[in-house]
Amino acid sequence: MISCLLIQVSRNPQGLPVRKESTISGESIQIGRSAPCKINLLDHRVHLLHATIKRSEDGTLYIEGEKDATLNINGFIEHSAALSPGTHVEIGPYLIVVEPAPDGHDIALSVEMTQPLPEQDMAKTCRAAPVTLANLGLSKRKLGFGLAACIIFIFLLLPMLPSISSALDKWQATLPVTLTDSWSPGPLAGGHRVIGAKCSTCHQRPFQPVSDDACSACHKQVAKHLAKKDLHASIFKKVRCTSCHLDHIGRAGLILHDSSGCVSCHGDLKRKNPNATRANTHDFGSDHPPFHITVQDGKNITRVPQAEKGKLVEKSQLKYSHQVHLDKKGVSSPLGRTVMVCQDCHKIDEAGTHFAPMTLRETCQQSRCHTLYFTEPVEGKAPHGSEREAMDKVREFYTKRLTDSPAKNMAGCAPASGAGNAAKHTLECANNLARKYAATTLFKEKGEDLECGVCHEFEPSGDNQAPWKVAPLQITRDWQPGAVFAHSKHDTINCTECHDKLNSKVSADIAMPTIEKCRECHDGSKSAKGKIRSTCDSCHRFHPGAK
Amino acid sequence: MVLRARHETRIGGNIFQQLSGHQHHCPTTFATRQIQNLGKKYINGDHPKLMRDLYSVLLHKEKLVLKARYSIMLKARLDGWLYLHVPLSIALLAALIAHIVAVFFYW
Repeated sequence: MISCLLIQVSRNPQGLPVRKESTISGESIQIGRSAPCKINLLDHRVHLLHATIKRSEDGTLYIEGEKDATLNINGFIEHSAALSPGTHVEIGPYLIVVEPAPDGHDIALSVEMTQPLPEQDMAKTCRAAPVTLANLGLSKRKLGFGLAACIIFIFLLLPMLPSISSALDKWQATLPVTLTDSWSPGPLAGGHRVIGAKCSTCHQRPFQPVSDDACSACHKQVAKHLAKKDLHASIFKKVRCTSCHLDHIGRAGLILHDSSGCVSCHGDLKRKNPNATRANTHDFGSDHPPFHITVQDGKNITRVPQAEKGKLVEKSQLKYSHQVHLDKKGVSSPLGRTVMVCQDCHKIDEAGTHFAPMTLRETCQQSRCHTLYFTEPVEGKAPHGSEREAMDKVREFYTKRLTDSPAKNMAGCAPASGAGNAAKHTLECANNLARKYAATTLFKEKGEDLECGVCHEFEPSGDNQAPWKVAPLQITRDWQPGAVFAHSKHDTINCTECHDKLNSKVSADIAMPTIEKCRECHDGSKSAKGKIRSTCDSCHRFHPGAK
Repeated sequence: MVLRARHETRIGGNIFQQLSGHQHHCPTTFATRQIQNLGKKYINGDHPKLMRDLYSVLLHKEKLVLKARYSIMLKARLDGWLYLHVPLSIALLAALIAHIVAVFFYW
């Protein structure tokens, strides 16, 4: 039995030997290119069975070539030779070197192809094909860095360019796909869409947050939350516009509807401002204070708690009875009895929050009511305007009457004083008649209010041209200016369910619903079943005056 | 036939051949099958032994070729994953850098 350590020697790209060891054994060791050979030399210059290593009778090992096979041993053509360390055996293109045998082996042979076929011949005989993807010319590194370069260019460098040049910024904003599109985290909110892709409008300086100045450049009219500037600055010194107004989250975005920001202050106002007078509140459904009504009396504007009903008086200088006009049997008019409803006079404006201003012509003269007729001794229709306009119209009627039939109608006038101008006398007469009859047909007769006096408060003016002065109107547009309320969103219920006006006889009555009435439908931020969830911004705005 | 098997048998090849581990109409396989049939005709003299040896060699070669192709196929598929994974990982790193810069650029 021969135990042989076979060392396959190959060369790496640097030309250094790479040795791969294996052990073969047998009674003899065949060398050749056929499959059964233990030392398989794959080259057509080697015979199928080229030589055999055998053990001699004295125990030494020797190599013996096959018939017609050539062995080149230490530079000499031999048929057989003893194998001792250092012996070189060339078989075809292979060089076999006998090395010192390690323990456990009888012999150690290193085999190396030293005379490979020329490249052309190898290609011709072996038809070498790529055996790895790398052989196909694909490079993971090139592919990776190429991809990374594309990403850096498209998604980093191109979006940065508009911040370098404003001209480039304007130009790229007109493109169907802008350079900065890839950086936009989402669509802009409604009004901001006009800005489009001009990011620098808000993002004015790279690597710096959007400043409040950028916002106030357009939103100049936005009021501070607190009227006192010093107090506002001290409380909101760390709050930026973007703390609440987050853009790029779609059309519905931009306004933070979460109440936590409000409650952080209004939950304990004293902590933020020891001089605060408003009550603390956390939630509309639980501890929101009762409503206050803002009342004006021509000089002062005061907030009156709704519980103090004695102070809830409107001084509008108008006379009006809701009870008369909302009588279910109808109100008497030249066209007969007319049943009126609230919407006949109170028409919601286009914003849906308030009511359109009422005018005499469009509101009060429905069914030919309140036409401002004066009837004696001439019939006419006074215009709804200033006192002077009404008097001028009346004077015009009397002047015409006097000039049409002077002999008959001038009789009621005082005689002319001296030989004055007849025309002047006629005008003085018309003025006197107008004053006399206007008083009794337009304003008041025997304590009864007529035409103008039906609705307006008035008093003598002492002016010869307009003897009556109508008190200026003070109609309250917002009873709760600190809150917003959309009547258009509440048109599913009758007006009188919230405003108890059916039995109101005077215009001084204020019929605003209480907080309990609102809570019949509305709840706080955690709404109960069947109720509408209402957060702070359902009714209030952070910026006073905002809608 | 044997010469064709020697010259035209391919291990590896283009990307599809590497990934499939298969050569369409492999000449070695074809030769191995044909040698079986030829052995039935050459029954005189040394022919049976030579045919048997030839068949043995071709069978051994076919076995080695299939084994090599299978190894290449496995390596090609693993490499294929790397060709997907490595470039995308590098690209992901680039995208991450771009994202971080973008976040702080337009804050």
